[in-house]
Amino acid sequence: MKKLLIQMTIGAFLCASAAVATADSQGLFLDKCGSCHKRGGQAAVVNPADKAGRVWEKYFARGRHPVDMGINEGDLGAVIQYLADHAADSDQPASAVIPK
Amino acid sequence: MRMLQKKMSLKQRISLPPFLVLIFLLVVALFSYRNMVLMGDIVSSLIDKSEQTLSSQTKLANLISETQISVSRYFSQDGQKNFDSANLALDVIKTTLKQGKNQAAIDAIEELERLTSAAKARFASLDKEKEAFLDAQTTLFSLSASSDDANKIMDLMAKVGNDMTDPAAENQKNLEKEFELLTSSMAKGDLKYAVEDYWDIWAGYTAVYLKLQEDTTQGLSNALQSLYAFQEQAITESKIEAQQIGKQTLQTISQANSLVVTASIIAIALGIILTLLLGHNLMQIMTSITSGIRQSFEQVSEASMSITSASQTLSDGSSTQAASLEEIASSLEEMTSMSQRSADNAQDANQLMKTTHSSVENGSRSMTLLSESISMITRANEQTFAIIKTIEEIAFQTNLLALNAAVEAARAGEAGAGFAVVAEEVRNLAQRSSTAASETNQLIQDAATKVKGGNELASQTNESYQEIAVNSGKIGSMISEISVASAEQAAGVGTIRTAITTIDDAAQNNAASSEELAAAAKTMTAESDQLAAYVEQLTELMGGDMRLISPTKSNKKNLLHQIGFNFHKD
Repeated sequence: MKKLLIQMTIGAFLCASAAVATADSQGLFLDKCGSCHKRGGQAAVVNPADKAGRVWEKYFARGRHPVDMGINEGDLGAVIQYLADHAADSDQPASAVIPK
Repeated sequence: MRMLQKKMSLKQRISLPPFLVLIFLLVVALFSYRNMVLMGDIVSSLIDKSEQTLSSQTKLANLISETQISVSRYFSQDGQKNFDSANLALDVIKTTLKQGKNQAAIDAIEELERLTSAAKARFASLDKEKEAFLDAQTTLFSLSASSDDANKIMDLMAKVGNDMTDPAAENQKNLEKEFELLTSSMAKGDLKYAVEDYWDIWAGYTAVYLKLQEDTTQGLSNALQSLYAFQEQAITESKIEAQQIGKQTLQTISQANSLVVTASIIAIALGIILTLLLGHNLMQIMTSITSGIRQSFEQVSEASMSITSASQTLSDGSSTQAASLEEIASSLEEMTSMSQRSADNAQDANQLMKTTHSSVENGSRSMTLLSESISMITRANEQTFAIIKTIEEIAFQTNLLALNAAVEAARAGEAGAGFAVVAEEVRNLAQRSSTAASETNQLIQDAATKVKGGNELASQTNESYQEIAVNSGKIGSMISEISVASAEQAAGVGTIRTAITTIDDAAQNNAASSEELAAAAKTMTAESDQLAAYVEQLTELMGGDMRLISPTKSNKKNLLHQIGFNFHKD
């Protein structure tokens, strides 16, 4: 019983952490990427569901982004993880985080 | 129970058992009716539920089928119209399922919604990747025309192109390796980047496509399976529910039948027990009442006889009383006249007494005068006695002188013979005077004695007169008082006469009332006979012996004789 309670507490904590992390990652994505990739912005509108998760990973691994994003590695990692988590082949593809 | 029996009337005791049984049977009937209505409702509910279940199941099956068709169509054929149709079908079925609060089915629908929404994004991604793939292919063609790796690139493109139309998981790793080999050997530049882009587009497309395929084959299938499982479960539950309702209905019918039978038996048993209990108690009470009525009747019969006798006696007494009162009234009349006469006589006597009193006073005064006269006579007698004494002395002296003269005459001889005769004569005369004086003295003494006696008698008479005067005064006052008393007596007799007249009237009324009472007593006797008949009926009803109760004529006569009533009285 005690073990179950501990597991439930940890599970609830992790879920809450994941939700917070998702909210933070989405904010980071909107902040870092959405500043240019937006309707009428400097670049075309981009959403995580535009590509598959592995494609996003390889894209940034190869350093194929044409301009300097002005983002540190930690934030970039978080943004990439967010993109992969909500990519077209993910369970929860996000296709309209940035309105088209 | 005893308290309840004490409080219950005879009517209640007689009517309670059948009334209770009737109420009990009525309750049972109502309960049966209620059960019948309930069973009717249950059967109706069962039919309605069956129809509703059938309708619901049909509707749900249709909805699931439509949802499956719409969603499957969307998954196999992308398009906004199909997406909208699938979403509409999902909304409809979700709304329907939410009404039944079927969480598992709702979860399945929400999973389908998630899959549909994800599929939309995936379809969009695939469309985009398709366009990008064509662009990348064009770029790659143009760049690889001058490349040494052109054949490898073309060969890889052919494999990729075939894979794009029908991606297979087992080919992915080989193609990945080929892309890895190709790009690793290539120098950095547009061609390498173009190959990498092409690789990425292919990889992305196939990944999304496979994911979409996975959703279709697994997620969609699982969700639909869940829905069908839910539908099957719902059908099973409906069947179970219908079976339960049927079982419950049969159980209710059985219970109702058992209850009706049990309640009827209880009602009959209760009725019998109550009838026996109350009947037994009623018999005891009725026996007691009958005995009491019998005793009371005997007493009433005796009392009625007594009343008859008493009323007769009263009637006779009243007549006698009336006659006596009439006699008293006539006596009072006479008494009144006598009283009046006595009063008048008393008045006359009073007057006479006054006259007598004055006469007695006159007599007294006369007696006083008589006494005075007698005193005067006594004094006159004393004076006469003194005179006679003197005459005696004179006669003695005369005798002495005559004697002397005789002596002298004797001495004188002849010359004195004449003288001696005279002296003799004088002596005779003196003797005669002395004798007369003695006789007179004797007479006077006798007269004095008699006067003295008369004086004493006069004194006594005077005293008697004085006493008579005093007594006549007293008698006068007494006669006055008698006169006043006679007047008052006359007035009292008048009052008594008036009262007697009133009493006479009352006695007349009493006589009339006593006659009425006698008539009522006769009626009462007749009623007691009727009561005897009723008691006889009641006793016969109770199964008792009536011989002790019914007062026969001889019994009545005995009773009347016992209470002193005379049948031969006129």
